[in-house]
Order: sequence, then structure tokens, then C-alpha cells
Amino acid sequence: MRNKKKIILFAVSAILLQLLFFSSSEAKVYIDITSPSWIEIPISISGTGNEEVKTVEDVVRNDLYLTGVFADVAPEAGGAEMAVEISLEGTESLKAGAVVRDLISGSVVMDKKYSATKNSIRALGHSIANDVFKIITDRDGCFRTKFTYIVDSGGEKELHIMDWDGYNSSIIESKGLPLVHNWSDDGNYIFYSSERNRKWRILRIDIKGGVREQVFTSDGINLIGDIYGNLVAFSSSKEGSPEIYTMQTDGSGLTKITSSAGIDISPVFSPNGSKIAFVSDRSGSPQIYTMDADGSNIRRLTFEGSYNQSPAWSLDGKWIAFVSRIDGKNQIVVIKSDGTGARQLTFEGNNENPTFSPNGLFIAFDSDRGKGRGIYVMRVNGEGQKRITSDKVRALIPKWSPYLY
Amino acid sequence: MKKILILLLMVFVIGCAQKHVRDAYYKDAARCKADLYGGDGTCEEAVITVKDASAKDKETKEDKKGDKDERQIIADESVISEEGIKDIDLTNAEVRKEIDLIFKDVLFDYDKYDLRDEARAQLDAVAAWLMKNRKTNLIIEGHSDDRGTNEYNLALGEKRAKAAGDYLLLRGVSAARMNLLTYGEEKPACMDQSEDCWQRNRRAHFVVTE
Repeated sequence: MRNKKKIILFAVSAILLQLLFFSSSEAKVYIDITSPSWIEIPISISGTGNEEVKTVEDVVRNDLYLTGVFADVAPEAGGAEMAVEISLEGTESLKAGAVVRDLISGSVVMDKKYSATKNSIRALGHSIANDVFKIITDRDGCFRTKFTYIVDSGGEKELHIMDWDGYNSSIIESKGLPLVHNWSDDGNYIFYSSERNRKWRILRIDIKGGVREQVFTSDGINLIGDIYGNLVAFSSSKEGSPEIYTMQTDGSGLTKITSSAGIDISPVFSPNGSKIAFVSDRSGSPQIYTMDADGSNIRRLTFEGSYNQSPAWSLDGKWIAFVSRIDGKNQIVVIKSDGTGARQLTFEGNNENPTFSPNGLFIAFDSDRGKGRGIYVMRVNGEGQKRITSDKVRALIPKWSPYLY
Repeated sequence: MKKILILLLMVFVIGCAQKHVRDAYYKDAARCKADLYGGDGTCEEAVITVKDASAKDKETKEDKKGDKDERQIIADESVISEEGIKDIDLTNAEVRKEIDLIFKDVLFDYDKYDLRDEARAQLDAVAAWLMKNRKTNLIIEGHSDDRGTNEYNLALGEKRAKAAGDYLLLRGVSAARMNLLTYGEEKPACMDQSEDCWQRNRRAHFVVTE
């Protein structure tokens, strides 16, 4: 009898210990953004130091609020549960600090120092936002990532690169007619398809060195799809009809993996590279299909609607975003990769070319709602849709970079 | 005896040209042999024949021997050119007027790339003109309206240019004289969001060159 009591006592204390252990180790994660719904954390962001600190503050504020995880509270208004205090000193070479306080417990949960130059002040803001986001959610922020996208100036097309919030745009290719494009996994190369001298070519540019090289060309179209490690998936009509091919990043090892009389285009790899989603009109209208990366096990994924295109695979492999024509307009829809659970995310204007952020929290796309075509970012549940490119620029086809360090 | 041989060759070439329309653009016999048509030796040889004829046609237009195969196809299509090859001045106003009249855009249905009946009649006239004016070449541009995605529309435009090109090939126009190029929705003829404008943009557009 005594023994039994002892055992019970031991078990209870073990459970208590475990509870204690878990609550202390999990204490850092203030919000579980993987849960279907969460309550926004009221947070205040303030800055001290020289005038430039305003810029840093704005960058951090914009980054954090776009995630939908935080509610904006002015420092003087009260009611904030967390506070981010940014300090900045220097004119050319900058010294910055960021402190995150848990105002409920009164503890300092982050205290970091940064150095930057005047030209990299926005990057400094993004770095601080990444650290704040990580400390509160235990997830990586995507605030240092970039987009490549196309600027259309009256028929002429240019390939550009910009920060994830639409700032710091610069041109990477203006020759020919650059159109579809994508990032290498390591973020070092942009692969793009451009019509030059009456041929569609796949080229790649080393974004640090700026060196361009042609990877593949033939008669017909050659449109870059996706890159997984050293493997490139693309569509080509070199034999007369657009089919999906793979090759190595240097253009060697060309392998044809689909064969149909119609159109097969837009291949994208699943996150582990084992599958490819693509668009085919083999059923009579464009639909999303999946197959193994060698072309076997072809499976139709979309049955609703007669015009489904432009698939993008989410980071966890569970979702495929695509474009569907609904009531005469193109909309972004997500569907589980088993073909169930379709959900429409956009409702206004024509919305095309979805692309996931590398942390899986956001989808970017282009839309012609309001003034002209521009690039928008939204959360994966469709909330918080925000235009990030200027109304003055016709911008389309965003591609989200991987993490860049 | 020689005539019979030529006749046989002619039938052979026509048969293959029709059967292997796809491959003739891409001038790679080995590829044709490999997968599209089941790997019969005839295919490879036929495509080479067409290719040789076209290549010579382009290189030395005075070379009568090089032109022979193509003329035989013309004979079959009953659009014999008695004048043979003549020079043409594409800057001449009369010529331009004639070209504008004959080389009208071939229009397509929404999300379709098969030829309408009226397109066939249009293309018959285009083929006849090209046969008469053998020193010209043709760029066929495929276009779409802007309702699909940019990428899918490039594929649609490609298919449309090819539908027009394949038909001209069957009408005896040498593959070497034709260049296909898709622009998808990137070079629209008009910018309105109306059924009328969408239709104008869903087109195969011709550019006659020297």
C-alpha cells in the first residue's frame, strides 16, 4: 500500500515537473502562428537617437504589421503587451540597438546591437524585424528576402529586383523581352526566359557578378519553370508542342518528361523535389496536374472551372496556389496538394502569378484592381492584401526569393 | 524512266511532307525518328529530303536542282508558278497594298488554336501568293488576348502560329521560308477589355520579309 502511494506521488510530481518544464521552455513563443486562429499581440514600436531612426522604425513597423501577428499600439497610448525600442547613432556608419520588452512580465526578451551604413538603413530595419519576429513567434521572418518581377513600360519589358516591401527596385535585364523567371535555391542566380532575335531563350544571371549566360534555346518557346538544387524544370516546344523538360542548371542532361498533343507548361517542384505540378490542356482546357519528377503518376488536381493556371507550391508541401478564372476574372485559389479543400483568396480585379514567401506565411501576386497592374502581398489565408509597387509602374509576375544572407 | 523516278520521289516527298509537318520546322530528322512518329526510317529520310531542298532553296535560289522538290509539291497543290522565281520589291506601294490585302490576321476562338473555316480560305490565298513570290519569307507571330496568364498565353500564341504554319506547309510553302514566333499577350493589337478587342488580339499575324 505504501509503495502504491509512493508511485502515485512520483507520477504526480513527474507530471508537475513536466508541466513546469514545458511552460518554461515554451514561454518564449508568444504566439503560435501555425494555429488556425490567433489573437494579435498589441505591440508598440519606438525609436530614439538621430533622425534616421524614423526610417528604421517605419521599416520594422511595416514588416511586423503585414504579418497580421501584431496590433499597432502607439507607445503613449498604453495597452501594449510587447514593446520594441530601437536606438540609432551615427551618420555614415550607423550603430543601432533593438530591445524587446515583455510588458506583462516586465522582462527584456531581446537586446541586440547592429551596425550598418547609411545606404543599408532599410536592410537594418528588416534585420531588426526578423529578430523581433523570431523571438516572438519562433519562426524565421522573410523581411530580408526580395522579389524579381517584370516592369512593363508600354510593350517593353524589364526584369527588376526589389526588397520584399517594394523598396530598392533596380533593373537586372532590359534587353529582349524578359518574361517568366525564377530563383535558384541558393539565391545566387535568376533564371529567366526572354525573346531575343526572334528566339525564346532561357538565360541565367549571377546576381552578384551580373554575368549573363544562355542556358538553353531552340525553335518555339522555352519557358523557365522552377529550379530544385541543380535540376531545372521548364517547358519547351522544341519538338512542336509545349512539353515539360528537365535539365541541369548548366543546360546538360536534357530530359523530356511529358508528352501530349496539347499544351504542357509552368512546372513547379514540390518542396522536397519529388513531384512537379504543371498546367496542361490535355482535358480540353487548362488545368493543374501533378506528377512524379520523372513524369510518371500524372494526376489531375483541379476540376472546378475551365481555366486553371500558374501553380505555386507552399513551403510545407501541403498547398498549391493557382490562378482560376471565376465569374470572368482571374483569382488566386489555394487547394490542398491532394486536390481537396479549395479556397478562393482574392475577389477584386484580375489576380495572377501567385508565389509563396520562403517562410510560408505570405503569397505575393499581381493584380489589376484599382490603378493598373501591380504587385500585392497577402497572408496565406487571404488577409492583409497590400500593394507594394507604385501606382506609376505597371508591375507583374513576382517571384519570391529564397532566404538571402 | 527518269520521269517515273521523279514522279515516285514526288509522291514520296509529298506524303512525308504532310505526314511530318511538325518535324519539318524543326529540321532534326533524328528527333522525329526518336519519339513522335514511332521511329520508321522513312520519316528520317523524308525530313532530310525536305530539309535539303529548303536549305538549297535558301542558299542558291538560282539552283534549279535545289528547287525541284518544292516545285513538285506545288504541282500537287495546282498552284504552278509559270514565271518561276522573280524579284519583288516589298517597299513598292502596289506590292504593299497587295500584301496588306492578302496577309490579314488569322483569328482564333477563345482558348483555342484550331483553324476556323474562314482561316483556311485566308491561308489558301496566303499560300498562293507565297508560291508566286518565291523570293519572300514569312514570319508568323502568334498572339492571344490578355485573359489568361502571361505564360499560358505564350503557349497559346505558339500553338496558333503553328496552326497557321502547318496549314501553309501542307499547301506547299517550304518550312525554310517560315519563322514562327509567339508573343502571347505581350504585343496586343488593342488594349480594351471588350469582346471585340479580345477577338482582334487572338490572332496569327504575318510579316512578309525578303
